[in-house]
Amino acid sequence: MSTLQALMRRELWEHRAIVLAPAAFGALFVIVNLLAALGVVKIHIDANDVDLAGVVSSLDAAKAGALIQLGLALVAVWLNVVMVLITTFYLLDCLYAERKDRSILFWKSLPVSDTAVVGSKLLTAAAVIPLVTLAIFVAAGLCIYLITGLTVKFAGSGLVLSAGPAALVEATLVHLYALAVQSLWYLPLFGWLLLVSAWSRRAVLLWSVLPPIAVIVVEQIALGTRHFATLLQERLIGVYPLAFTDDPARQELVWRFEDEHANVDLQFSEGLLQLLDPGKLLSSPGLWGGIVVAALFFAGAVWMRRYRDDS
Amino acid sequence: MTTLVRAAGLSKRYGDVTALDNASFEIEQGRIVGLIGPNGAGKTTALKAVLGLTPFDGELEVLGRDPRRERHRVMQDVCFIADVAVMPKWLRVRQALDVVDRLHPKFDRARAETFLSRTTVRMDSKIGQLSKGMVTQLHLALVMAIEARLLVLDEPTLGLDILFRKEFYTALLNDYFDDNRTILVTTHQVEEIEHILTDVMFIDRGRLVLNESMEAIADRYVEVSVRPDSAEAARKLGPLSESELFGRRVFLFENGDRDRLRMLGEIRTPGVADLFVAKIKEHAA
Repeated sequence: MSTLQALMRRELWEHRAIVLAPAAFGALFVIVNLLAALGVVKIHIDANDVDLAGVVSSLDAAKAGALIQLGLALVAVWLNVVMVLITTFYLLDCLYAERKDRSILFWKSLPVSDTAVVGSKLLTAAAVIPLVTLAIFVAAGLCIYLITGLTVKFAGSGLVLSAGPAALVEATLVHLYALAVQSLWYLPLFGWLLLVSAWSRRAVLLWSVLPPIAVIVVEQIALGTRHFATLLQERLIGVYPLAFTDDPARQELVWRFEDEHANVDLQFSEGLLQLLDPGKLLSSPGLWGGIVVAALFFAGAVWMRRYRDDS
Repeated sequence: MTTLVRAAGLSKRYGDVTALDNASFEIEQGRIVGLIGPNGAGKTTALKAVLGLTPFDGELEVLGRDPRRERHRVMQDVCFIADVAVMPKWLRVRQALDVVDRLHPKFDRARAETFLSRTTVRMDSKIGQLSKGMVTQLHLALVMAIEARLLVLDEPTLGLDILFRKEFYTALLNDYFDDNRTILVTTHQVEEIEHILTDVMFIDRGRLVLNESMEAIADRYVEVSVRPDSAEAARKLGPLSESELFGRRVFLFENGDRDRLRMLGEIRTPGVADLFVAKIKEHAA
């Protein structure tokens, strides 16, 4: 096993929230889904005035897939929120806690370079945490598919059971893509948090937000502009417009609006994968500029870990 | 004889405080060197410099490498136990073995497990749940299972009770130390380790005030305890220090004339602690 692998495994041992928090959220969604399914079963038995069979019979294969994917989209979004929070706190803690409890002296007694150690922490944030989240997404997705599929089957249609696997695979691929582009786009933020974690003597969270706020305030007062604030906003939420298509024709292929019973009915028809647009992201200067900034912050964090002596 | 550590003009300042002041020394293979000094004298700073844990001025070579730039290579052949238990509290004993096994190419896991099986440390325990003595036993088991050339110990038995302290040094001598190994150790409890040391270095306010082998100390320094009526005669010979013990005056001489001293009273080789106190007082004067 390589050094990096061993180091990343150690990160999972220390920071158990990386697995436990998204797992708890995934389980919560499954439980809610299960309760909803029990409700449907109960309606089927008790209520004579609800035409469940009629609702179910209006399903077609595309709608059945869309039903699964809408549920999964909700899970993916919430897991992502949890993941971003966990990653932030993980990165702020990972080089700070070892200095605070002096266990850095034990880790530094092992023949591992500071670059490898800090690198393992960046990789944990950019790859291990997203992959753990994806695994939990897939596990929760499977449960939701089975629960929903069996419930609809019970109500009289096997369409969800048959359309589900393809819908789940597609949703997983889109989620994997979203996690990958988000990690790439967030690299400079990860680097910044590592640098603060390696440098700060206390109050890491405060030190991670104060300097950017100070830059925004100073820029506003001195120049009357808001370039840095815009840049930061772009960095925080700007990846999805870049990574997914903004071509209405392609979006049209995926979303078809039907005005049925005066309600807007959202359907997935041609496949979610039509939305991916990696070319636009890879050709954006923001991505590569961010990676350069990330490399500088990373080098700073390695330098700090090597030479900072406050043990 | 292989020289493992070669330091020349080692200096380090923390703000206004001089932690190391132009210290030069060498450590040969197969020795057990005690680095002895009062609190804040620069012992830990010297060890940190050797381990590449702190920046410093001057020249330093550890196993032929500069620890500032190549700490991770130096640490393949150098082991280190710090003054307090620095093992991470969240780690389990089994995980500690795993992680050292995977990160240290010279670690022999079976050997560490053998050492641990002689203790009450359990594989499934978290380090945070172990007593301080048990954490030290674990750390020692890890270190003794590494085929290292230099072992650096910074107050390794601080805060342990007497049984653990005795056991620690006994294990080190019987199961670890041989001609290929070298140990550099700092401690407050000089008396406890002076019988195992081959060399001592005294450090005071960042300066080395003595750097001798134990044999050389036995040749160069002599302690004589005289009756009070001969005290004046002893004082005339220029002793390093003078103290009183059980109604007799005890004088410590450097390069003293043994034949003349023998006529004044009973002579013997001074203890490291007494010599240390005398040298520090001389340095302070």
